[in-house]
Amino acid sequence: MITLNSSMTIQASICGVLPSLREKHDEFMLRELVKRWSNHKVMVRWLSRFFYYLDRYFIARRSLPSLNEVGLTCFRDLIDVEREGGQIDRALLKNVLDIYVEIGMGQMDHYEKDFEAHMLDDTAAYYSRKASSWILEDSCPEYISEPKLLEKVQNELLLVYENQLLEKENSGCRALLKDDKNIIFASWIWLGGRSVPDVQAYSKVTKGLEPIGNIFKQHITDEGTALVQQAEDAAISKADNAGGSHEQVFVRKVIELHDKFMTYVTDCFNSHTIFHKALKEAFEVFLNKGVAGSSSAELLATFCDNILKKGGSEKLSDEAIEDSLEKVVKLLAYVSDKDLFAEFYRKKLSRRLLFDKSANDDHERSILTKLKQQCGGQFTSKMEGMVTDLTLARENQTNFEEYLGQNPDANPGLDLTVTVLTTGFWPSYKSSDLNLPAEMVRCVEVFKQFYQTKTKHRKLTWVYSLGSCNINGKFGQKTIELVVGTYQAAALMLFNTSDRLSYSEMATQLNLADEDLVRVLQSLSCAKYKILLKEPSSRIVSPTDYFSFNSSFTDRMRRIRIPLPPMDERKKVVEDVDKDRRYAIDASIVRIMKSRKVLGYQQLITECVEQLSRMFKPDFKAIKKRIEDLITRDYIERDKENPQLFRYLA
Amino acid sequence: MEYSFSTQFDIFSIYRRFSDIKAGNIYPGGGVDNMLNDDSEKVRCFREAMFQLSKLVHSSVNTSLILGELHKLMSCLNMGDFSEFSNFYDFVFFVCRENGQKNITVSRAIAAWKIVLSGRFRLLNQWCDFVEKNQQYNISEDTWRQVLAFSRCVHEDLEGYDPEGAWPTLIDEFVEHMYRITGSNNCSSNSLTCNVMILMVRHPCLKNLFQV
Repeated sequence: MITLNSSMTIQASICGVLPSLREKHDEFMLRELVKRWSNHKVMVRWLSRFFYYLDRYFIARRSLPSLNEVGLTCFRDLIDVEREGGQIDRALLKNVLDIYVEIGMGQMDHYEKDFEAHMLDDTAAYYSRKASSWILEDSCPEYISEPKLLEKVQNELLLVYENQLLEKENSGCRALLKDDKNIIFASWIWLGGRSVPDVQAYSKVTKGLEPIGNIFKQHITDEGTALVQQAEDAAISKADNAGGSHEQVFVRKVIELHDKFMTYVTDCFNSHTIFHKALKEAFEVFLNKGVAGSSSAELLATFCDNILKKGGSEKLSDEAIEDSLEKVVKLLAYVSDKDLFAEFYRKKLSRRLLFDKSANDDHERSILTKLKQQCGGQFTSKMEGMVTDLTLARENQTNFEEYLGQNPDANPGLDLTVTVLTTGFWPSYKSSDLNLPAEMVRCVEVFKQFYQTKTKHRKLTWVYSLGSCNINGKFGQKTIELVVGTYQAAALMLFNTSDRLSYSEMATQLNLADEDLVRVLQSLSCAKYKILLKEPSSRIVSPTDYFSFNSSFTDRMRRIRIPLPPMDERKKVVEDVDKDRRYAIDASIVRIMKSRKVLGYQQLITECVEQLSRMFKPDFKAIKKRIEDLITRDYIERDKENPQLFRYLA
Repeated sequence: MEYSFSTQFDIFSIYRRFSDIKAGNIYPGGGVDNMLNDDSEKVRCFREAMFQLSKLVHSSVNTSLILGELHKLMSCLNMGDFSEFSNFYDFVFFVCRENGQKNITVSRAIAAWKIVLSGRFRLLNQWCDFVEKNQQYNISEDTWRQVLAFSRCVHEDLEGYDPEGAWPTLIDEFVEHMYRITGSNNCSSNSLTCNVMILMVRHPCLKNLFQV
């Protein structure tokens, strides 16, 4: 009984469907269809467990064909309406499509056969109809250049689905970027960018480019951040052997990344400003993070040093060197701490110049020209001064040698080379009042006399810490030439007159600070070459130690270089930069207040940041501290009524 | 008007003279001169008068006793009147300075705050503890004055504090410290600065700020 009743119900319900569908038209018919279909589904769900067979039979044989035809016609009409720009219910279309899929019991056969094929034919027919009517209406150039067609296609295919398209997981914008499918990408963008001149489409398109720009930016930021992470990991794993090559690799990779995306910007995006901006912002994000404790300003300076110095890790042709330098300078544009770069660069440049490590003068000058173009003359004036100083120093040395030739009584007794530098250009060096050995004192005197003949009003300050000496050590087995620093040489010379000296005796005789003396003695008694014997012998130097000349020392080389343990320069550079920044902030605040007389706090901060942003990005707290300091020093005062207001005090 | 401090240190008369100079009534030499209209001249006279007075204070007062004297003075003044109190507050800084110094030491500032701001600043104890532990430099006059303003506008929960205001850094740091220990507000130092940054980036006329 149940069976009969139920089958009657289904039949009745399905029979009711057709007439009710026929009564309705167009969209309403489809709505009805969807409603009925969902009713049907509910009913079927309840009944299907009993009447599986019947259910399938009835639907398959009786309702499907008719439903199909009616549904499809209405559906097509509806789609035509949309093509003409009418508003339709996309959700409804989606539901109808679902029906096709569901009828196929999850298979796509029905969808493909019954719907898709018809739909595609229909689409083709529609556009060919349209095209023929446009052909009649428009002249040829209008037809092609007027964005009618393109805009249509673009509208249908791109803008409506823009977000889904852009964010599609496997084939969206990001995936295309990832797989370097720049050809597809480019054509796609081209399609979007084609109608830029058209005023009407313009707003649509620029709005369309912005999200792409954002994705572009995000993608570059992610890739860059990944490089930073890689470099950090490399730094940690290599922490023991202190290689430093991971830094080199990092900068190389960043340059490659920049090249790659710059090509996108120029080739695919037609150098559109949105993409230039995206590229810039992305690089600013990850290049200002720093890698494993060093800022990217330092990394870039080190990278340049490795390229420019003799025997650096990079072996490159002249063109490749020029190209790399060009690119590093471009990257510097994204780094906010340009002053920090300048300080590190100067430090390394001074080492290259003073210790004759610079591989090529032309490259040195060429990068300075590039830096000057990008950061202005003030940025490079000191560095240029350094390079010039060295050229002058060579001339000066020739003059000095001529002078010695003409004045035989002014013989220094040793081969002496002096490099005269201009104080302001070079990094500040500690010049301690070392007690020189008598032989060297004579040299200094002779040079002073010579220099007096050239200039009257200049004061010479001797920076012994930068000097280097070649001295002969007469050891038991053979004489070895030792290449050492002036401090080390002075320490060794003490043993010409004494056999054994205590640490404190050496300290007084040399007049050296503990910090320096410890390094000197470390290098001579605890390192690879033990020129001095230390009592008690251990790895570190302490103020209670005694030292004596190691006459049994020997080496298979005839000439050896004994380096001083390296000093951590980074700390000093950062301190120097901090100090310079304080002066720069002070000067900027005073300049602003002098012209404005009275100014609110926020405005003062803003103007100050703006003035200084070419060199560095000052921290608000630092500016605040400088304001407080200037109040104490009576340059400015806080307004009595309004604490947010500052006044300039003349 | 004649003032005599000849024999004994008298905080009352010094305070009176201090108030007079501040109000612009007294010029060096003791005379009243209304002919001084030039601003820079006024400033010069004001500074000169203050300098003379501070010399007098240092020559006649035993610095270790000064806090007790301030206590005495405070009990005689009408502290209900804010302008009177504010004047007195400035005076405290003035007499706490050591010879020729512009700023006062941290320990002295704390001792003075404990007397002057007692019952007027709800976070007084926390403030003094914080300053004692974290400030190694002397306290400047500007910071001293701003602490009074801070004590008046900020409640126990630090409501009323504007992180973008021109507060001295010591006060900013105190607020960050309070947020950290109470944990009631998730505004850490970083998010404070971040807020400022975001604000600036969004502000249209500041756009060019972050361009290189």
